[in-house]
Amino acid sequence: MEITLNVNHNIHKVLVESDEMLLDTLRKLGYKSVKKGCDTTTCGICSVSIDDELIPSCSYLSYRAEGKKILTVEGLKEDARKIGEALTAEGVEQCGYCSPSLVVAIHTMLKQYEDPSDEEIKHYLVGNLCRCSGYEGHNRAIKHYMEVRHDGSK
Amino acid sequence: MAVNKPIRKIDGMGLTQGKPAYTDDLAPQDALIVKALRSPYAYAKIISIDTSLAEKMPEIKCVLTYKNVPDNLMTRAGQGYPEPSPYDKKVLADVVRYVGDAVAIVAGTSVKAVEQAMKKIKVDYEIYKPILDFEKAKDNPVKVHDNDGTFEMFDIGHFPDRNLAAGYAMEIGSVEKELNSSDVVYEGRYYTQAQSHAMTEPHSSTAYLDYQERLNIITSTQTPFHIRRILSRTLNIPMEKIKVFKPRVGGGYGGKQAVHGEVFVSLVTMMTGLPSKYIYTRREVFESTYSRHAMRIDMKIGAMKDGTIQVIDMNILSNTGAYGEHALTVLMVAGSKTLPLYNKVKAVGFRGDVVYTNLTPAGAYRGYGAVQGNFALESAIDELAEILNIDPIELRKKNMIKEMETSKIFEVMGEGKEGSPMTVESCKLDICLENVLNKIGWKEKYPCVEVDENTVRSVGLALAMQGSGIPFIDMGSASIKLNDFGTFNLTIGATDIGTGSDTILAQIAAEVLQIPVNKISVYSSDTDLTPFDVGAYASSTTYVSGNGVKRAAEKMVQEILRIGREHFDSDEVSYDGEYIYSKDDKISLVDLATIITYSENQQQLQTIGSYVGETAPPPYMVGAVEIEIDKRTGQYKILDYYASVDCGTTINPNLAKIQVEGGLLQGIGMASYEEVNHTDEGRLVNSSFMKYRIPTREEVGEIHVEFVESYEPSGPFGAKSVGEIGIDTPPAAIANAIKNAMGVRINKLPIKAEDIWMKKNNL
Amino acid sequence: MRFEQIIMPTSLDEAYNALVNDKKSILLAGGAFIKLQKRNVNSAIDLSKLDLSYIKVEPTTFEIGAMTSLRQIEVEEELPSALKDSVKHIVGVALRNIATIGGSVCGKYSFSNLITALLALEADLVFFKKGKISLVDFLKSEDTDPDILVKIIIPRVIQSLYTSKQLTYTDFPIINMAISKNDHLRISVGARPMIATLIEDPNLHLSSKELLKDIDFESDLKAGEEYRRALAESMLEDALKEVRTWK
Repeated sequence: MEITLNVNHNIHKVLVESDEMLLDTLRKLGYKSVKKGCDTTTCGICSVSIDDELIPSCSYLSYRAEGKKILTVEGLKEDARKIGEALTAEGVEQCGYCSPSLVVAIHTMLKQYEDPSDEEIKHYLVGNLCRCSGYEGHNRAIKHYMEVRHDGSK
Repeated sequence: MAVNKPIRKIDGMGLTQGKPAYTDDLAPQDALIVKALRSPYAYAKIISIDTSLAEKMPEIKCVLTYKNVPDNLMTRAGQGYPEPSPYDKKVLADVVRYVGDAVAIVAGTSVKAVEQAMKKIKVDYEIYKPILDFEKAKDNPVKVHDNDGTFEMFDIGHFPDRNLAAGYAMEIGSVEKELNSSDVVYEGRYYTQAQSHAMTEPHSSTAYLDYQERLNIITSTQTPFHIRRILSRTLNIPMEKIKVFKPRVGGGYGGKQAVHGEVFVSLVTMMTGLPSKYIYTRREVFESTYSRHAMRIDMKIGAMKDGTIQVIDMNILSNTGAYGEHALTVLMVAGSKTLPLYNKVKAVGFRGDVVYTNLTPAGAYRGYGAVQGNFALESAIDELAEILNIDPIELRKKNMIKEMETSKIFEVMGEGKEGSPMTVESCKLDICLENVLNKIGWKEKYPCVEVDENTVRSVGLALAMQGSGIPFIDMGSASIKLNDFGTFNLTIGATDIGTGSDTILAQIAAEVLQIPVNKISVYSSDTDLTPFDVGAYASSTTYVSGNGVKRAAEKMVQEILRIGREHFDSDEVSYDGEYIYSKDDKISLVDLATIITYSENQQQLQTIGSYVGETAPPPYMVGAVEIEIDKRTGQYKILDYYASVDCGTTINPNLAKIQVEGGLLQGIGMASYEEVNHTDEGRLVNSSFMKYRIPTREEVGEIHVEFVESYEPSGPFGAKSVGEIGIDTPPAAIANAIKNAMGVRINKLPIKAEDIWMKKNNL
Repeated sequence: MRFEQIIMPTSLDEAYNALVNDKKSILLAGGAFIKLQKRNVNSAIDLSKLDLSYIKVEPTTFEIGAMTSLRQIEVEEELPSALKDSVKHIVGVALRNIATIGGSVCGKYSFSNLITALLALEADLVFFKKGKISLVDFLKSEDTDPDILVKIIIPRVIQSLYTSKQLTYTDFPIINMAISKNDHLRISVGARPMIATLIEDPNLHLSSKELLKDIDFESDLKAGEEYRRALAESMLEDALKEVRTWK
């Protein structure tokens, strides 16, 4: 079937199979930031933002995204750069494979929580697995980013 | 200056912003999809295989079985050559030896078509009785490799008719005599599991023929140069026809040291002339790559009443699964990178068998035997302390290795062969220990503190050591080129798999050249364009490749001075990173580099440096954990983990810290919940993230890592390795903490609450 | 799972007819586990255009549409804590944004966190054809006639809690448990590893051991029968401490 997708404010008309998942469609369209980790919703690495909610694109049927606003890290622009700067300042991105989805997850988290507590951060991001870092550097980076973000708005 | 600075990883921003960087991002758009039909049986012979229906599908371009692939035996291990691993694997064979072993390879134009085609392949198997229990494998009538021609490159104790992939034994002094003359002897048996690497990027490779009709491989590997060699020798492709490039890699931890899908995409592309790619499914990553070697470790320690350890004996049975990748060397490291911790013994014994079973093969995994050995040794030391009625910390202090001391083991045990003698020139284990004890508040918390009627908090501790490359084997090299306008290219064979080695190697070069790191462009891991490096394993990159880079940079300084002398026609010139000075004149590097490129005395400056270690200075660390445990049920959680590390100079303190934090969490996972089960038929149960639980960010507790001041004279700017050491201490430290809380010794990983509960209740 | 076509009904009637007319069709809720299922079907009947995603807060009940996501349940302040807490350990926010309460209930998964909570909360299920049926009866029923779950109704309770033990935060539970209090107390125990069941007429004066006396446990790879019982007893002991503070 032919569907129309709004990805990072770009409109794509694209042919998909009825059981095609958004992960495969997005990669086909060139959004290579969206990675395949487990392909069964258990690792968080394919996460994208759909209408400001965090969605596992590996198990989200592409046709269902019609009429919705899809954001990948390529579309988060300044916010993605700032989160990226916070992560890399700690060196915690390491292999980097889980980083784009983590950036998206931090972005959607902060759309829903103005000033999340440590507990809320952990709980929101727990589905985003990382095998390199030990997660502690994520905490340092996110806290730092939240401070910078607040400073910027003052 | 550039060294010991926490600068950003040079690829960090690109990766966080999702730039195409990994194998599947770079694979040609029209690459054929390659998948493997895998064995549902643990041990079977293929009586007949009919691929005709699959081959008739228009979307299917190639089907491979044992009938149409080269017949050479290989080891996939991805080690130096000749390898200390048995040649026991064929690309495809008519015997399958574990559930998940490859039966046939299908390549087609879409995932759907390839999946359909695989269903159309008819295979008749003669099902053999498998051997699944590694404790029964040795001399079992069931032979995993039954007269199939497997061989060793040199003596590694390979006896396939006894199900022995490899074996080793050594004794320094007389173990028996010293045990007999000891006041007390502790004996204990320990088990470790076949942990999965669980890197986030599945094993991925892609192949295409370029305009010179050379085979180009882009692959998620830790060892591009070994991959080139193995492909050439196994597939009968001339070496000069192969180029291997490693792009960014989504985690390895040893799991991408060996050859995986590279052989299959190479064959498909050679046979069809078309580009191809093979991205493993998550299930294949778990089931059909390899895991850590599961081990049974028997410990005997003899000591005098005053706490002098007289003798340590370690006897290991290691399970290598169906194929023997890294069988010998992982076994040896279990002893060689643990036993020197207690170097004052009069005798030390180490021996072990590595057995074949019909299970997923074992291979390299961060820690590489040391983490298994450490669990047994550091648990045993606590048990010995209890028998002696001596504080376990005092026992360690009395017996542990100190700076400027040595251990005979360094000389006797190498990796796969003899070692090399070494005096330990940097060892701050004593300071690490003091720091960790103070920071965790050991005095107040040891052995445990009651929280309420059901809950206690307790502490546990372990020491650890690792190595820095393999002496006389691991070689790393680098090339530096001066460009017009004074920038440099650093090309390295070293393999950055996310650790940040591209960055720290640039820092080392920048330090020597006295320039900002951003004046250096780094390019790595390309068998055509970069000099040789063994790859990212054995904690070798900072130390071995780093020394190679340092040499190349030092030569470049000499070259800059040479052209400076020629420019000023003077013998006395100096260089400070910005200018080249003669007695009474100076010229900027920018100007001189531009001049020699375009206008006078034109020439290209390029230098090369390579390094092979004569010793492998160990990094050391002390890890201590505080846990909270429910006395009724044994349910425990980690509150804090304190680590103090001596890895010499940290070239990049941030990246070193993350290496240790990440290593610790993998060790905590191994200690606590990364369980491995098989069905009675030998199928791996834990083949998804649902069934194989790696730590989430809720399990971390708080990890506190510090580095002590230390300087290794043989390392680049005083550095040793830091990649593996972090994973070693958690199993023993956590087991010791549980003992301190509950009074029971858990000798099997992962440490399940149920096992604590059963032991506590004598069930 | 693979399927050839999508059917997008706009009424329950249409959806039901599609389901009964093609034996090789399935109902598509959140789609969270499509990738985990091996069978192939002709068509998937997508329920997302039937307006079944809602949480209605009524004076004496809550009505939750079958297509309501687990994440919506988690963040809806008004819902009983047992229900909200029961979904918190399920994989992660992203999965919970697509997985639905209907899909979770109809799967009758023995490890289900949600079913344990719904059982303690005395939930009723409303099906398109069969009408209203209690969750207790639904779990016992072996009826496989095609039908479509429309909504779940739970009475308001005074207080409730959910507790579970798992290896890691997002792992499947070794044991889970939910307690609710209305005019009476309901205690459900799940992941035994069999599906959740209720303790008959729980008496707060009894010990947790006595309360669990008639509940069956079994062994699987996660834990042995004996250990599950011991773990359940400790969890109930702790939970009852809290329950005794309830008004």
